[in-house]
Amino acid sequence: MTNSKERQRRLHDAYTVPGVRPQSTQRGERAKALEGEQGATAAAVRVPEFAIRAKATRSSNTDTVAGLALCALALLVLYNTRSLERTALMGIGPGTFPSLVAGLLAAIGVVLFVKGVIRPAAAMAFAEGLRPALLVTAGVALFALLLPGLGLVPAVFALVLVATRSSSGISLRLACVIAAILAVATALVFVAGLALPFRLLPLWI
Amino acid sequence: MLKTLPKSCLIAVAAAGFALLACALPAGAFPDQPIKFIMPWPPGGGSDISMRLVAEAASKKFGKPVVVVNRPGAGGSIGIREIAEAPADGHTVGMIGSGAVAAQYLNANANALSDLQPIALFGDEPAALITRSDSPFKSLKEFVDAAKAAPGTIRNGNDQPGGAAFTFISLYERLLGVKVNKVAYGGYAPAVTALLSGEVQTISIAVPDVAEYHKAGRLRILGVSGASRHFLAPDVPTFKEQGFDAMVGSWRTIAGPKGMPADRLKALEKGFLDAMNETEFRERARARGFLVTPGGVVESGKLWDTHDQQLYPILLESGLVKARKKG
Amino acid sequence: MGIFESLVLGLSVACTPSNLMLCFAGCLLGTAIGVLPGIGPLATMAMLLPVTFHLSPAGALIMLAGVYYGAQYGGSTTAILLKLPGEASSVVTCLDGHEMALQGNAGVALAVAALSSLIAGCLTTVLIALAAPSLAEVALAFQSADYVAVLILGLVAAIVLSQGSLLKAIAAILVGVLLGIIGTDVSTGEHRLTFGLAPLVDGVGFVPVAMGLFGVAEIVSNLASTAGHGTQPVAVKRLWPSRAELKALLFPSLRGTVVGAAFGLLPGGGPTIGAFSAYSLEKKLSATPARFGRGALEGVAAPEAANNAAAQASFIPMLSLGIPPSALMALMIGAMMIHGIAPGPNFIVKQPALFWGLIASMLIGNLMLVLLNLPLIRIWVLLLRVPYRYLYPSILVLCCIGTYSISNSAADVLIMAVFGFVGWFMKKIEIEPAPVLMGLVLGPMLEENFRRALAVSGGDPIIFLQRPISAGLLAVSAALLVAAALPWIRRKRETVFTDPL
Repeated sequence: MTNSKERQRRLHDAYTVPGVRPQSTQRGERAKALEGEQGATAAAVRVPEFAIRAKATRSSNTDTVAGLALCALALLVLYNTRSLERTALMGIGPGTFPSLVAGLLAAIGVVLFVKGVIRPAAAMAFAEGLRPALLVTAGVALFALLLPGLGLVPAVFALVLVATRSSSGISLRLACVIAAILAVATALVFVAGLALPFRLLPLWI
Repeated sequence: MLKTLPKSCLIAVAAAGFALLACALPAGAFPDQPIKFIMPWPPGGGSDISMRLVAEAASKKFGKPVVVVNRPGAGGSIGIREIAEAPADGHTVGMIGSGAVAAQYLNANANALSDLQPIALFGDEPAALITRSDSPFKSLKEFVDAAKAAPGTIRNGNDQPGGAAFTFISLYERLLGVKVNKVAYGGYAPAVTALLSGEVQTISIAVPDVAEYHKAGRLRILGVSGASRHFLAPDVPTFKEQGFDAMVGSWRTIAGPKGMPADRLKALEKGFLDAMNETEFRERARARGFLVTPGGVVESGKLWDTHDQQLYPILLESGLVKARKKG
Repeated sequence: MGIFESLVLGLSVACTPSNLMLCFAGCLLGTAIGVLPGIGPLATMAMLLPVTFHLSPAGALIMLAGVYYGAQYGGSTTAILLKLPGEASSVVTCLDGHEMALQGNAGVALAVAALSSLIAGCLTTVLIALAAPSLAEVALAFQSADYVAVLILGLVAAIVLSQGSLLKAIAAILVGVLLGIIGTDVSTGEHRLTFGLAPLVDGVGFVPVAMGLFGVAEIVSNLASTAGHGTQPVAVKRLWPSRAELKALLFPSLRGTVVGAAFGLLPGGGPTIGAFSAYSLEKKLSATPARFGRGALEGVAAPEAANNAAAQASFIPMLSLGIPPSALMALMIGAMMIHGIAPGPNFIVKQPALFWGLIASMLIGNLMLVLLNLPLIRIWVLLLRVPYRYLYPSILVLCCIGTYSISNSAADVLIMAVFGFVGWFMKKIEIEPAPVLMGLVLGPMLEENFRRALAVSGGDPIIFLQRPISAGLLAVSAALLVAAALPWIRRKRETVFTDPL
C-alpha cells in the first residue's frame, strides 16, 4: 500500500514540469481528447494518459468514489425527507421533489460505481492536496467564528496565519506582515469606505 | 505604548464621569441620542418606504435623528429579534407588520409578539379581491356564487402559506363561506403576473399593487375588505357595501422591546403620533399610495390581539402551527 | 411621438450635467462592487436607495441602473482573472475566460468581455426603445408549465456545456438542485433538509456556495498542485485583441445578445440561463467544440453578451408593465415609489421623460463603462503579476468579507468553507462545479413552477404537453440532450475498441 502511494507520488512529480501549471488528471483526459481532435498540442506538459491508467485500481478510482459519494448523499437526503409528505391532494407534496432528485442521484451513483469497477477510471489520490484543503477551509471557518465576536482584525489574522501554513513559501513572520497589511487595507475599504457594520477589534481593546 | 496608557486611562475616567453626569440629567432629555429604527424587510419595499417617511417626520418631532436600519431575513424574524433583544431604553424601535403574527406560529425561532411593546399604529391597509377585466365575475357576489357552485375550482393566486395574501384568501374563504384552489407564488408581483397571464382567475392582495392596472382597465378590483373605499380606487365598493361582512387587511405598527420605562414609551408614542398626524406627512404618504390611520399604544395592541385571534384558527386548520400551539 | 423625438427627449433628460454625473457614479460604483467578490449589485443598490430620496426620480433611476449593468461588467473581471464568479451569470465566463488568462491572454479576455457586453448593451437598449410594450406582453404568455420547460432547457444547456462525463454533469446538477431544496418550502412552509440548523431555514445562498466551489477550491487545488508554492505568474502576451479576434467575437456576441435578451424577459434566472444557453449554442455551432473550456474566445464573448443583454432586457417587464422580474428590478420599483411614481402598465405613456431618459442613459452608460474598463485592463493584468503566495491570502480575505457582508452572517462564511472543501473533493472525483451552481439557482424555481403547474392543472401532468410553449421548449431540450449524448455514446464505443488497457 505504501509502496504504491510512493510510486504515485514519484509518477506525479516526474510529470510536473516546474513553472508550468501542472495538470490535474481531468486535464489529462481533456488533453487526450484534444490530441485526438486537433492534433498534438502542448502534449509535453500534460500528464500522459498511461500514467493515470497505471495508477487506477478497481476499488478506488474517480468513478467508484464519485458513485459511492453520490449514493451516500442520496441516502442522506432520502433519510432526512422521510417524514415529508410525498403526495398531496392536488399536485405533489413537499417530499416528492427531493426524493425524486435523490432517487435519480442514487441511480447515477450506482451506474458510476459499476462503471468504475468494470473499467477503472483515473485513480483517486486522496492525500494529495488534503493539507491545503484542510488548512484553507479551517482558516475560513476561523474567520467566520471570530468576526462577529472579536472583530475584523483578529479574524483576518487568524485566516491568513492558518491558511498560509499550507504554503511552503510563507514563513510565519511573512504571514504576519501580509495579515497586517490586509487588515489595514480591508478596514479602510470596507469599514471606513463602504461603512459595513464590522467591529474592528475586540471590545476590551 | 506604556506612555500612552495613563493618557487613555485619563480619557476613560473622564468618559465615565461624563456618563455619570448624563445619567444624572433630568429624564426630560429623552431621546438623548439618535433612535435606531429597525426595518425587518429589505429596502425598496412598501414597508421600507412607509417607515422611512415616518422616520423622517419623527426625526423633527424628537429633535434627534431616527435612523432606519434594514435587517431583512427569515421572513422578518431576524429584524424582529433585534428589536426584541435591544436594550429597553427607548432608543431602539422598529416596524412590526401583520406578518409577525403568523411568523410566531410558523417559525419556532421567531419571537412572539408578547416579547414586544406596541408603540404606535401607522396604518391599516385593506385587502382586495382582484380579477381580470375580461373575467366573468363582475362583482363580489358573482364570484361567491361561482365559488359556491363549484368549490375548490376557482384558482386564486396568493403568496406562500402564512404570507399576507395567503392569510387574506383564507379569511375570505372562512368569512364568505367559499372554497378556492390556493396557488402559491413568491410574492405579490408574481401573483399579479400570473393573473395577467391567465394562470389564476383571482388574486387576493393589497390595493396599491393593483391600482394602476385597475385604472388602466386590465384588471378589475371586485371589492375592498376595509371599513371604507380605498382612495386609490374610489370606484370600487367595499365588501360591506356588497353585502358581505368581511374586514380583512394588513397593518404596520411601530414597536420596541418589552419593558421600556413608562415615560419614554409615552414620549415615543407622542412623537410618532404627532409626526403621523401632520398634514404634510399625510399628503406625502398618500402620494405614495399609503393609507395612514394613526393610533397609539392601545390601538396597536388591540390590533395585534384581534389579528391573532382571527388568524390562529386558520393557521391551525392549514397545518401551519409549528410552534406556540395554544392549549 | 416618433422614436427619434422620443430619443431626443431621452437624451435631453440623460445629458443634464447632474444626470451624467449620476450615471457615471453608478457605473463606477457598479464596476467596483462587481470586482469585489460577494458584494453584489443588490446589496449596493439597497444601500444607495435611501440616498435616492434626495435625488430627482430620473437621477435616482439612472444611477441605480448604472450600478446594475456596471456590476455586470465588473463581475466578469474577477471571473476571468481569479476564477471568482461574483454572480450566477458570470459562472460561465470563468470557464474559458480564466483559461485564457492562464494562457497569458487575460487582457484579450477582458477586452472581449467588455466589447461583447457593449454590443449586447447597445442592441438591447435599442430593443427596449423599439418594442418594450409588445415584448412585455410576450412575457405574459408564459405560465408555470412554460417556465418549467424554460428551466429544463437551461439545465440541459448546463449539461451540454460540460466537459467531462455526461453522467457526472447530470449528477452535478442534481446535487445543485438538492442544495436548492434546503430551507423553507415555498408551497407548504415546511422546513426541508435543514438538519435542525437555524441558518439553513432561509436556504443556502448562491454566493457562499459559488465562492466556496470556485474561489476557495481553486486556491486549494492551486496550492496542492504546486506543493504550496502557488502557480507562477504567467507572462502576459497581449493586452488587446487582434483584428481577427475582434471579427471572431462579433457573431458570438450577436447570438449571445439574442439568446440573453430572450431569457431576460422572463422572471428569475434570466442572465444565468441566458449565459449558459449562449455558451452551449456557441459550442454546438462551433466547428471545433473541443476548444471550449480551454480558452475559446467565443466562450467569453457569447455568455458575456448574453448576461448583459438579459440584465437589460429584465427592465422591459419592469418598465412597461410594472412587474419586477427579479429582486433588483423590485428595488428599481421601490426607487420609483419613493418618489411617488406608480409603476404600472401606463408608465411609458405617463412618464415619457423618465422612460426615455433611462433608455438614453443606458446607451451613455454602456459607452462610459467601456471607456472606463478598457484602460483598467492594463491595471487588472498587473494583478496577475503578483506572486500567487501573496495574492491568495488576499483573495481569501476578500471572499470571506464579501460573503459575510451579504447578510452579516457568519453562517454564510462557514457554508463557504464547507463548499471550499467540497469543491476540492469534487475535483478529485472529477465532477465539475459549474452545473452545481446552475442546479442551485434553477432547481428551486423548477420545483416551485412544477408544483404550481400541477396545482393549476389539478395534478394532471398532461399540462406540460398541452401548452404549445412548454411542449415546444421540452422538444428542443430533448433534442439537445440527444445531440449531446450521441457523440458521448459514440466516443464510448470508440474507446472500447481502441483503448489498449
